[in-house]
Amino acid sequence: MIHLNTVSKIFNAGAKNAFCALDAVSFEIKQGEVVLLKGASGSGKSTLLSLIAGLGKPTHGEIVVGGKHISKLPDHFAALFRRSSIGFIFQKFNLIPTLSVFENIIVPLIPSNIPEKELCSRANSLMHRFGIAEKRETLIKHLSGGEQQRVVICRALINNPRILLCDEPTANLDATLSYEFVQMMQTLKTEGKTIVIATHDSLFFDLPLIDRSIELSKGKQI
Amino acid sequence: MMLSPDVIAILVLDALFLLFGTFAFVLSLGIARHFDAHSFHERQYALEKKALLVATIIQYIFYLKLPLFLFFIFTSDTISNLITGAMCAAGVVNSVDFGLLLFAFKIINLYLFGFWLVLHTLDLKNETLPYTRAKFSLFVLFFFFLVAEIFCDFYFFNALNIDKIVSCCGTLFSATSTSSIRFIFELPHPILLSMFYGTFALHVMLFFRKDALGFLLVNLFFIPLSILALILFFGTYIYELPTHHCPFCFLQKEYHYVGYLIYITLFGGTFFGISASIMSLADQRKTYASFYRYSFYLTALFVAIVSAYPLLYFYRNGVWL
Amino acid sequence: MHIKFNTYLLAYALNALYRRGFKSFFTFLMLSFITFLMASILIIAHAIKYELSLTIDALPELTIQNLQAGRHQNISLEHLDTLLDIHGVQRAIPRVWGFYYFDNAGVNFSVMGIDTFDHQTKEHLETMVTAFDFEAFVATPSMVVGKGVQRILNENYYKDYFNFITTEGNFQKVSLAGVFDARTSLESNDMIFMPQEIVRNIFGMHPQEATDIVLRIANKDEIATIITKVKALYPSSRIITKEAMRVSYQSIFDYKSGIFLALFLVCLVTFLMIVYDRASGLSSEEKKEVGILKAVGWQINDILKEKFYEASIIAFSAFLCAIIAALFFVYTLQAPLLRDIFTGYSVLKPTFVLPFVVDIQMLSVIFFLSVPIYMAAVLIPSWKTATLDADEVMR
Repeated sequence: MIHLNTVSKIFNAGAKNAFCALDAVSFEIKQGEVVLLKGASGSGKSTLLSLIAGLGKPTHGEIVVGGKHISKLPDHFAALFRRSSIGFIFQKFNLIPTLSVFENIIVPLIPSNIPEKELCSRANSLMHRFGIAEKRETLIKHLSGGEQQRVVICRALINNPRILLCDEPTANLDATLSYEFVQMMQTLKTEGKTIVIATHDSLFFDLPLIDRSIELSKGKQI
Repeated sequence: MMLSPDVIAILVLDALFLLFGTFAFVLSLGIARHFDAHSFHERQYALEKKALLVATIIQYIFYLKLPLFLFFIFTSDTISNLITGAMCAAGVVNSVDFGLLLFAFKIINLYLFGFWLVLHTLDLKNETLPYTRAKFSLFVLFFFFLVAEIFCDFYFFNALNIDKIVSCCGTLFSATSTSSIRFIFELPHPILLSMFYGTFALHVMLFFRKDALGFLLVNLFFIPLSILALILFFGTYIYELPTHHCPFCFLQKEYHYVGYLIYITLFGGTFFGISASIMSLADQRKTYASFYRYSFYLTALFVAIVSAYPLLYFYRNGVWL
Repeated sequence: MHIKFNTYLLAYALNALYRRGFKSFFTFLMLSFITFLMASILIIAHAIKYELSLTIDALPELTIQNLQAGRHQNISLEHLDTLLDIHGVQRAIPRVWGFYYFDNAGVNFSVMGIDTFDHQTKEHLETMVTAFDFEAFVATPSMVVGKGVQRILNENYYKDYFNFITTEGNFQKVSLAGVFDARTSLESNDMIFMPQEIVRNIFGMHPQEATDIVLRIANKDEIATIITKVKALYPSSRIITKEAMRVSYQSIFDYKSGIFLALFLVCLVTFLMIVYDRASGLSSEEKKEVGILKAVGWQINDILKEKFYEASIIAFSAFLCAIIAALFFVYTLQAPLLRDIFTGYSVLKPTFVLPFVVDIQMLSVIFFLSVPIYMAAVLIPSWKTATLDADEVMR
């Protein structure tokens, strides 16, 4: 499903302040696998996730996701690929504070301009599933951390993606909410989603949910 | 020099087009030379972004040029009040030597920019961006047309002289010996009309058969033929005067601005027709049915409008002009 | 190429503007104000032009004045018959008129003589002559005045009559017989009509002289020939055609509004520099937002489109507000300060009301000079925003 072949990313290549964020990383993740991406902060986890999503381009190497050469895709098509195949769950939620729950959830669908009926039914079923239906019209800034996390998950799932990329998903959650998050990932795993969780939270380290771990340190694979 | 508000508006926007156009031109040169969809170089990513900027600028210019062109005709019509002898835009346009050239440039540029955008859409449909280099090379060429048009615009308004007496459309489009386009008046109406309706019939037929090459040729041929038919035949029925052949006067209020409708349907129809054909030729897998359809509807509407005039005249008066 | 309207994107754009509250509002306000200024100037110029064109429409085709040493002199009535003999001249009508300076109020009145036996030079004079009994006015000197004149006379306690001071220094008492209302107030607000004999008396003119002679011509195509004939008969005369007056008025007003437009453009450019600058400087919030949007699958084009919607909302609402405000300012408030620029002589003339004219052409000019230019100013900053690296969001 996700295939990395000696991927390197050097920021400001050639300049004095050149910084090697990733150095010859290679691995493969199969469909339906839940993979943990371990490492201290600054080890290159976030960079790796953004390369898999096609948000950035590697300096060397090749990334193939779902049969598509993401690293070779012009930005225009990389965005289309993200829209159809990738769901993102961010560390700081990254929701838009002045929009309501519903409006935040449909943000990924706005460019496709699909009919209102379909859009509403998709958003509503997700909100029901994650128990935030009654907060539909509430503005994000009035929500608790746990509720925001659910909104983020709904937004990540609205396009029905095959791959979920989570970047430090539990950094802003307390123990109960973190556990709740793991439960939700568990259900998503049973639905056959491929999930990559980048974290240094020890909570995840010995969970049965995790199929495999990949550890990074200073951009290198250990 | 005319310094009326309308002229200033046109010139200001021209200046803006020139500024943006030049910027886009410089960027296009770089893209046309260095763009390589297979490259991993940082420069390639920068070029992809710049390509989007150029495309945005071209869209801006095109979508503004459409209403501005109508406004230009409208303004020329207004100026005709000021210029002795001019009855409509025709007189104004002809009061300078290159007036008709300016008009031609304006229309051609609209087509060119429109086609560019069609190519752009087509390009963004394929992951390898197959037409990127081609479309920016084309823009480098089109830019000179744009510059030529803008300079013509400037000299046109600069050269307009309200003290000069010009010929009105009555002399410009007449069968008298002094007229420069006299020879076309010798074309008999039955031949002209059978060519006109024949081409339209061909248009309809090829529309149903979705024959790209034929459709392209028919549309290209239909533009000059229609203008000729307007001047020689249909115009006289709009004015209900057998001697008045002007293709500009019916843009005026007296004729309920029907000219705008006539030209929009004619140019719109042929534009979509030509675009549909070019796209189908470039990309054999699809037929671009919607463009074929727009072309067909607009052209049919055009034919219906111009045909209505002589038919109604005959219905009311029982005779042809 | 295919621009399909996207209501969700519109809602999103509205919310984005709201999120940047003050910044958006400031831009909207400035753009509205500048557009309002331009719209006001154009609307005033347009209204005055319209008023003048109505005045000029009513003028006779040819006016013949007598010149001596390049100055306008009275013309002898002996010429009338000779002029009438020219083929194509329908009528030759002598006019007796002039300006009377009323010291107390510091205004000029236009005094126009009426000859009841002759044809009138303008249509509305014809209706006035039938409405009032000018023949009786000769015996008991009386006059009909415009509304502005009546107001000024009232302010100076002349209710029923007015004492004109003749060139010899005598008083000529003229009673006020009535007030007339004309189609255009610019031309006739300051008008006083009375029999020609009394006008001659006030201005000290010879009975066999007139101020000028106007010609009615049946066929417009003959005007040029008639001009050459008159010129040959009276080499010292000046012949003014209606057409020439119309053209010169129109170009004067075009020129005047053109100059103000040029000044206005300087304002606009300054403003757009500010807009460009503000749009280019992005807060970390905005950078993060672009990052989020890209991460969830928006293309650069989608973000550009969203920015386009934002700019359109600002530009169109500012345009509409400016137009409404300008119409209110010009027609309800009668454009204080601004209209003096165009009329110039309005200090000397009694006030007048601007006629209401709005046409598509004027609105188009205002549109083309506001909306697309604003769009142009935000085009490059929008592109810069849209092509930001999305990494920001990942940190």
